Amino acid sequence: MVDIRNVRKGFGKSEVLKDVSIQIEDGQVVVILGPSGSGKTTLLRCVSFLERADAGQFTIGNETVDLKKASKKQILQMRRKMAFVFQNYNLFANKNALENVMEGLVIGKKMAKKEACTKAMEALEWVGLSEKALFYPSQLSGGQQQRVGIARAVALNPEVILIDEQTSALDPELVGETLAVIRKVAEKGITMLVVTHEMAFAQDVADKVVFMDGGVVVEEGSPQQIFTKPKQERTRQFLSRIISLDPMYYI
Amino acid sequence: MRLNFQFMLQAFPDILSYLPVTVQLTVGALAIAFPFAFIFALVLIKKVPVVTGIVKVYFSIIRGTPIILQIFIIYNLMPSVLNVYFTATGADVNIFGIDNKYYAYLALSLSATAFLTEAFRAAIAGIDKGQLEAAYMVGMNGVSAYKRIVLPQALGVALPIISNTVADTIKATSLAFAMSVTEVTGRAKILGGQSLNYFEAYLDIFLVYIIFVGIVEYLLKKLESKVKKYQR
Repeated sequence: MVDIRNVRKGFGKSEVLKDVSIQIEDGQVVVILGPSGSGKTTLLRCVSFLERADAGQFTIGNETVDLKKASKKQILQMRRKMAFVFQNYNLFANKNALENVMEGLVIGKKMAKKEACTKAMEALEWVGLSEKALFYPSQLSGGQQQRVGIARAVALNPEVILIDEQTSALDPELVGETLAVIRKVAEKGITMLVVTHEMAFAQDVADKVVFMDGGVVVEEGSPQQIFTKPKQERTRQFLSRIISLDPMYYI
Repeated sequence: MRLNFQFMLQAFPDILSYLPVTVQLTVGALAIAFPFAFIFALVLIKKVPVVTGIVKVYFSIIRGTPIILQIFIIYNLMPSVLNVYFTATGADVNIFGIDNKYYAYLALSLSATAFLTEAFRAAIAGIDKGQLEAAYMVGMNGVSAYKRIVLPQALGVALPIISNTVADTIKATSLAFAMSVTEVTGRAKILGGQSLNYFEAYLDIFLVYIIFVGIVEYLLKKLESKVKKYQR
């Protein structure tokens, strides 16, 4: 189980996260929706220690750390239980696709090179990019780079994958291929916390949808409940605007 | 005016035999400059208190004064300062017996350090922070992330400026005659003076420098394209 509890984070005077808690059962996919500036990305960055939270606890399995006071060693330990798929892919530009996936296995997990290579090839094949293994990120399209990013995360065999707006930097035509791969990850039964703007994807893949606004969780529930009969006025407002602006994108 | 070609031909191998001294001065100066520049660049990037200020003052002194002046000051000041220090600590070192080359290494490294620091700092800062975050998220610590991801890319970005600094350092070694170190330029002056064929001697070293610097720049260019092979 993944448990995010009472996370607070401010930048200067503005409070971005005001006491946010989210629980994820093993194998569940939780999707966070919300307008820009609602704190979704900051929440992912806080639990991955890319930002220091002002308060909060984070549990993966049987290990709990304090998000404010975690030591370097604890951070490294927690990070080795999770994987992150970035909005801008953040592939290592000086490594080819295969090496991008291998780095975490060889350096992070101390796996033997040969074994790591086999594992990395499997992961690339799984996202449909085995023939691009020796290509550098600059030679790949945005969608392909994002899939390498997903392969890099999945190969680590983490307890939870955090995915940050994986499609917002992509050409609309490339969104589909990325979402299809993420759905495959979900079907694999890996626990996931996904920040997205893709309503159709949320509806399709999520076990639970969390709607955030202004640094708090406004409402959470099953996708069906959130999309068809939201309890909060704010959720309804947001959904009606998004859905009318952006016709459902079916994968 | 007529050129004394025979003198030019005779003097050339003699002058060329001092190229190793020029190379030695360049390598010595850069061997000091590179590690210090790297440390200073990290100091500036991490904004280490106090040290950052010291590095910045050092920069403004080096950038604001001619290299020849830096050489005069090092050459005239260092031996006396070291002498006072060693006398005070009771160490039995004959300061005035130290080879002038060592002062030349130090003096020539001063400005190379300043320019390389700036090159390293800009190159490292220019690498997208997202890649560093990605490295942390696949379980790397700071040292591996820098060694494997950030620095190899920063090297590619910095190489054109490194190449400039290396060329500048090679050319600056010609000032070492001011510290009575005889290298290529020094030798040309001596030979030219002996037979009053200054112009011919200078033409000789003109060729020596332009070819030597050309070769070094070519090699560094090769290295650059090798380091940057990941770019389309």
